[in-house]
Amino acid sequence: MGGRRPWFKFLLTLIVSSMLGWIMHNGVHVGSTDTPPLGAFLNPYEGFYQNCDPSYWDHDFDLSGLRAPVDIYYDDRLVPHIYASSSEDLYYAQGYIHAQHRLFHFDMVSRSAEGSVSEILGERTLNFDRIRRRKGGRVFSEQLDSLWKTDPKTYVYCKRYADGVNAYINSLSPRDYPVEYKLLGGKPSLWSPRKTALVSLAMSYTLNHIDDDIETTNTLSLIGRESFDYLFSKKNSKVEPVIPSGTSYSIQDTALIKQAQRAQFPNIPFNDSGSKNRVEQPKGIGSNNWAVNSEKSATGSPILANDPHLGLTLPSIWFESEQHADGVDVHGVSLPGVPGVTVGFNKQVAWGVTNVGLDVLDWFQIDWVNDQQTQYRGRNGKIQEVRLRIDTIKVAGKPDVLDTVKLTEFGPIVYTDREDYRYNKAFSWLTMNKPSKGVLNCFFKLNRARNVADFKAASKLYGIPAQNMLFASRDGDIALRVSGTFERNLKEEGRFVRSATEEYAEGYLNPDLNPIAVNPERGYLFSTNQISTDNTYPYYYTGQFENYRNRRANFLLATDTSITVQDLINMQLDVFNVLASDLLPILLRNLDASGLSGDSKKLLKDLENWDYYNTSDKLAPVVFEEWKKIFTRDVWDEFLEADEAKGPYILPEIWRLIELADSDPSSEWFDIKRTKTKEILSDIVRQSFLETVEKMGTYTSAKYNWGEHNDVKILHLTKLPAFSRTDLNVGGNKGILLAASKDVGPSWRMVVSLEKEVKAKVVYPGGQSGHPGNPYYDDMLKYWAKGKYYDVTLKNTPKACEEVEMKKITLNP
Amino acid sequence: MIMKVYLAQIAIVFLVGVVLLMFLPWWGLVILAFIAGLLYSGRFPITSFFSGFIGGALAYGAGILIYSSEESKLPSMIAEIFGLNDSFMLAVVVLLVGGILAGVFSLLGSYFRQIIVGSPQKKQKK
Repeated sequence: MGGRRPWFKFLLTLIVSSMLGWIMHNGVHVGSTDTPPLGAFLNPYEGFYQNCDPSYWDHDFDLSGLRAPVDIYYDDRLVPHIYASSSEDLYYAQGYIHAQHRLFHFDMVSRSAEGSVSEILGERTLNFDRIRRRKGGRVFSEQLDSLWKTDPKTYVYCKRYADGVNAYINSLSPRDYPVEYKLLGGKPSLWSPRKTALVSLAMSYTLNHIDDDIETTNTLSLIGRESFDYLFSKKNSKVEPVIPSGTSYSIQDTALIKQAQRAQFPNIPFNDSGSKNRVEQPKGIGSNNWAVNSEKSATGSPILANDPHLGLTLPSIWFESEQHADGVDVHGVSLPGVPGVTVGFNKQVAWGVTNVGLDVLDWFQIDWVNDQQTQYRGRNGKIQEVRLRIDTIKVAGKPDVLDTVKLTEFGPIVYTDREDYRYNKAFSWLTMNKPSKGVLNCFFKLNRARNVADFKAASKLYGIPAQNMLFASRDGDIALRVSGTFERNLKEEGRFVRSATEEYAEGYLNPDLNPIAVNPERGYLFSTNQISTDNTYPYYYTGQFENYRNRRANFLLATDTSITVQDLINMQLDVFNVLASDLLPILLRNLDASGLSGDSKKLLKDLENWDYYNTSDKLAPVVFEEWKKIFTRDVWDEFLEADEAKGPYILPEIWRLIELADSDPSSEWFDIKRTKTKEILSDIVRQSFLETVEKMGTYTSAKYNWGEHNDVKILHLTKLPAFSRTDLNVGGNKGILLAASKDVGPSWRMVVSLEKEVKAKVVYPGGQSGHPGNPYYDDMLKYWAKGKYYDVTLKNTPKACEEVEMKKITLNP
Repeated sequence: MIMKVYLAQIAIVFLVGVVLLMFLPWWGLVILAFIAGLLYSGRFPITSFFSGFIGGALAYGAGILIYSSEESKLPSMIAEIFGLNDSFMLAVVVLLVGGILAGVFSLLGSYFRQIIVGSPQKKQKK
């Protein structure tokens, strides 16, 4: 029977080896995560070890799509200086370079905007994809793509960029894929102008997706019109608007003004859906820019600064480059996935952007005609048929998922879960309603701008998301335009949930009516996402506007008569807490300190001695922040504890609370509704202080400070801790010029001095390479955290690059 | 004789493995190890496991030397993701995986040969 034993051993080994093979092919399930397919991932010849090579300059590349050779010089931060003989070749090379360094990054950005993340990540992101698809990501990108086609030059640049990206993708075998694909599965998909449109959509989601109309409507129903206006409708008089007060606006859209005067107050439909799934609005997304003219500047030349505050991620949202071709010599940062430079400078001019923050997202209550919800009442009472669209969502490892979306003339029905407070409402978003043809062309023109006339022409082309575009030129001009598509609105149109029966104004404002300021007498211009205009601007708009940074910026710019580059750097790094300087004296004035002892006395002393600077090594900002939070919660108990079934609600802004505390300490709003006694301001101040002291006791570390509490961290797109950086100790906060907090902050700091030879100081929180572990993955982060900058001058010739021994590669046709 | 086969198996899995893996995915090593296992004609196929193991680990080790870079922190990051202390531990795991893969499939090859051509013991009996 000896013959049986080899069989037995063979079969046993076969089983073991099959299991091994299966694990190697599929990976294993550990805890809640799946490992990547281990065989490929751990094999040094195809797995992650293949992603260790940090060099990009050890050989030249042959690319069939180019017309002429393109020389690329990499400086010591891996910033490419591109020399091409035509703009077409320039954008081809830019696409190729972006793909080399950031392929996974912009593939994911475009996928998230479209709603096709599940093709890589599988079922866990299916709901996310479904919502993004219903909102219309894919349809939008197709529309914008065909719109761009009507502008041949823009489209050619976009197409050449995509060709460059694809030349790189096509040169890859699976073992060359970025390590993120090896970890998560999936593979890079080919690029196209449609995907560039998706990157612009992603920016709209970040900057232009303020979604609080339902909450606002609920709040109005809860407290009634009078109280609502008292708390929510006043304007903050301390704010200095983007367009300097006193700028005069000529009334040209008389039809709109007349209709607005005639119009009835909008009738607000009651919101009847529940409160589940309240989505917190991202706060702190915003930006600073400022410029001084030649008279205000110490050097006699204008200086311009910009620091957009965006989500802090690794890889960084920006990629820096210098670009030279026919008619263009520009240095700055781009969004990977988009050709051209978005924020930067050339030999003559510099420009920067901040978000306007308009509320351009509306929800329409739908009046269904029948129970099957196939018909509804549209505008003018007309009965309309619901149209259906079927979205196909690809899911890794699973069959495609089909999703039927109901479309109304107001927009798609996005939420179909009865528990959701947005249930069965139609989603109407300016971004989708008016895809903007000129967005890319605006930047192509800015890259080539020579003077303020060029700036005016370029900024008029811009669409969505609306931006405060700031400009300065070597000629000595400074200008600031609130650029982008403004809806024509009647008073309060779009502030609340809308309905088919409301009165409304049709269309969009003529771009000529976008407010602009050129060379104001005061010698400086700035924007910090504050409100765009003073009350003399004749057209209604609403949004979320910043209340504190503008005051600090205005103060610093106004008081300094001779401003240097270093002054503007100091402004970007300024951590003075204007809000605290308003609120803390009121709190301290109203605090009954009797009977305080020990810890509470010490904390109070800390606060009393605080100079209102949010530096990372102080404790006082932590105490203040906690106190503010608890105080606010206690004051607004009527909203936070209101009937949840009708919620969610919005809270009055903090500046309004401060006004109220200052002017009316015994206001009924300070009363806590659930108690029988009537509380006034001082009661709330004391009880919230005592709770703050208790809370502070939970921070046990002896050296606990603002840097630790502010907890600025930069997560990789996959959120994998190993690829992220959390060991930063950074001061500032939202509402402070240095607006760094948690995972939002200055994403690119730039200060440009427009002297005869333009000079700049720049830095961003990350590095040029998107490849984890690469020496250039996070090399600038340390500089950024310490508030240091790199010097940049335009290197105008390849020779200048060779003189400083930059590494060169050539892309050959 | 056995020693020679043993060394030949190691050399084949290691050297041919390095070349093969440049072109084929990880299962290139699996097929190679299986074929190398077929070469073993001795009485104790289990030695085939060890020769495969050593050859596979060497092939992967060479890969690590070729492709890892002092400048890249990626291996330490991957080690962290896998819950390992450092990149050295990760390299050890990679070597083990290469070794076990090649070892098990070499063993399978050798048993397969025994079934087809019979074990040397049997031959002597006949």
